[in-house]
Amino acid sequence: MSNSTFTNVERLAAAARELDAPFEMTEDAFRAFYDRTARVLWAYIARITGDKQAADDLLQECYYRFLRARVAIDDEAHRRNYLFRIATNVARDRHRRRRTSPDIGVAIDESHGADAGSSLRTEQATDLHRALTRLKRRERELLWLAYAQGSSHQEIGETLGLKTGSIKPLLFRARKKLAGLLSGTSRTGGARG
Amino acid sequence: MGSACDREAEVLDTLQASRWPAGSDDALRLHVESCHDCAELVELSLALLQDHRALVQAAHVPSSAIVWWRAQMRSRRESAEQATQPISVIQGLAAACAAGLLVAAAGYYNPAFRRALAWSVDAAGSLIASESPVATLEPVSLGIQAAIAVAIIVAPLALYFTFHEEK
Repeated sequence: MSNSTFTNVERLAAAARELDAPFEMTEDAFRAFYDRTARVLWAYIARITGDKQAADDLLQECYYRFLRARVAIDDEAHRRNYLFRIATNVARDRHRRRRTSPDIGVAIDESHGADAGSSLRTEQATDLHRALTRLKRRERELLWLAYAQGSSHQEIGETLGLKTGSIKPLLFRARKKLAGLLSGTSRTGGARG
Repeated sequence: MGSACDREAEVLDTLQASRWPAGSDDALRLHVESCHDCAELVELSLALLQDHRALVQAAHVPSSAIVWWRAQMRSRRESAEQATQPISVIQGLAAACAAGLLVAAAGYYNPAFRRALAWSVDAAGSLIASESPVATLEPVSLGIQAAIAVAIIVAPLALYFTFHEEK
């Protein structure tokens, strides 16, 4: 009984310490890191989930989990990869909960349409979004990290929890698939137009 | 299948550095014109890069101060909940024990209440594999059995309300 009481006291003390300083990172360090990564992370979540609203919702969750994780982080690159790994897992959790595949293009195409001056660019963007929706989640993650963000194979491996050696063939196959879908889309678009 | 051109990394670096096509050397441009894989890489990478830039530009993210403040609030709330959980468990168990003792006392002192609880005693008796008929039980053992029966009913409810999180 005395042992369990002691444990409770210890837990209360640990909780009190957490109330005083809940995160290892300081506010200034966090805010600088957030300013460097938030928009890129938002774009990543928006593209892999296909939902801007989800990106809005999950962004806070990602940074919260990042702050709560008490892991030793060596440098900026490691910290960034860790954040993107959290985002990947958060997005996968959300997908498992929903078990539905939203239309990836709709929400984002609207903003592109408003921003882009050229209708040709908008059409190309729409084709790309449509093609991306038809890929598997893992393929979208790979392509986005490699070609949109320019991550190295090692960084992609860390983010997606894959071996570095397996990235090259997986990426190659995903790229071929996307190219095939895009050429199919443009052919369909040409026939329609 | 699965093999790519040796110069892909070079092409990709040029694209990522925004040096394509103007900042790249002639040899690389000529190579891309003749290499199907590299031409495909350029086309897809440019499309994805453009998409990435558009999305980053369009992103409306909350300020870092707000994200930090929300995270702190949530962390403190969760820590406080975690700290009070053992106390709630003890309270729940105490409530279950008190209810059991109350029924035991009522059963011991009030024969009418004892008869009314005969059904629960039957259930408790079967659970503890007792062969004695209810009618022949002493008031004390009847009270104990009634207490067990009630505790079996009350304890899960108490635990449920203890661990139930308000949404």
